[in-house]
Amino acid sequence: MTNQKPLDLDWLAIRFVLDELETKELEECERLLGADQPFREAVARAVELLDATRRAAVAPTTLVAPSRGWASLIAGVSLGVAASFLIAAAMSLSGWIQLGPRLENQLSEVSPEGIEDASIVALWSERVRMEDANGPSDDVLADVTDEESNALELADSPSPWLVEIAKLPDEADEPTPQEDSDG
Amino acid sequence: MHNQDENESPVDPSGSEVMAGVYVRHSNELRRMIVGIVRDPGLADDVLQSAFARAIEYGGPDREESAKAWFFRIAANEALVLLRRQRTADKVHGELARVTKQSPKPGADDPLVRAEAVQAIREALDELPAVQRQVVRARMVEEKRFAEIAKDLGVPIGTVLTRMRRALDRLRTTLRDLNS
Repeated sequence: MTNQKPLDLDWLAIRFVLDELETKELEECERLLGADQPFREAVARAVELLDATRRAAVAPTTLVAPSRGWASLIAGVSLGVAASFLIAAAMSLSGWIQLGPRLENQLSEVSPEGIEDASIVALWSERVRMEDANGPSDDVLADVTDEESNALELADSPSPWLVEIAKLPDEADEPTPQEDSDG
Repeated sequence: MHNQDENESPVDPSGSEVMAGVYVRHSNELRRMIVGIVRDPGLADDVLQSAFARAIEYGGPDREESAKAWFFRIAANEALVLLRRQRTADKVHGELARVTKQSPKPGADDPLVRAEAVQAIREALDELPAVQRQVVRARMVEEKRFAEIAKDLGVPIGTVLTRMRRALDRLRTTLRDLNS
């Protein structure tokens, strides 16, 4: 039945894929699809050819249009810069959130403030021991201001956690939940 | 040596083996054919699935029919069934433009067309006579029907069809050379 030339078959397949057939031609195509392997292969070739042609015909328009090209370039650069800022901000924030307490602990171990804090804790612990034995010591309270005095008064009965800190300085970095609730 | 006794295998395994072999060798071509019928890449996978099930049910090709033709026929019939159902529902009766709009960008894992093919066609398009390129562009990019193009250009529809056909003949040659 199919005495058509291969080219005719290809052209028929192209018009079938493009939906540019008369009703009778369409019926013939559907019959061929069920009976004729060369036509089925022609349909596959038609899809490849038409899809490639459409893509090829569309692409130059988008590539050579200068205004759109510049707009895309500018948009791309803007997006890149914005993304960089976002990433940098996120990393910075993440660093503060995740590394902040650890870094603070590390700094407190090595910085002069850290050493000073440790001395204060040691002094405080010494004072507590002396108060337990003799009562408040005047020389310890001699040069404190009113505010500090008030603060010391509030802390006159030192919390157990502070004592524990003084006794176990190595474990003070990670107070237990119970200690937190006490403080 | 295998003693193939039919009583030992109630389901003939050759059907699925043939089908798998055909699919491995011709999957792209098969998929294109299905897309050409149903005009929707998204439906092509459904058709393929139905075709696989049907092929297993049938068991294998007839003696007169090659394995490829056998499986392509099954897939084409499944695609036509789906197409008719869709036509009845008046959902799918579009054009290639709709098909290609849903296609992925060239160069990626695109089963319909390769990036090299697009590039080769692009170069071939530039070498076409302007009147042919004009028709190709109007049909493929602007998605106009041939009758509409003829009306716009003020020429008989036969002239438009001839220009389109000659243009596609040249482009097909380019594609064939690339594939070979």
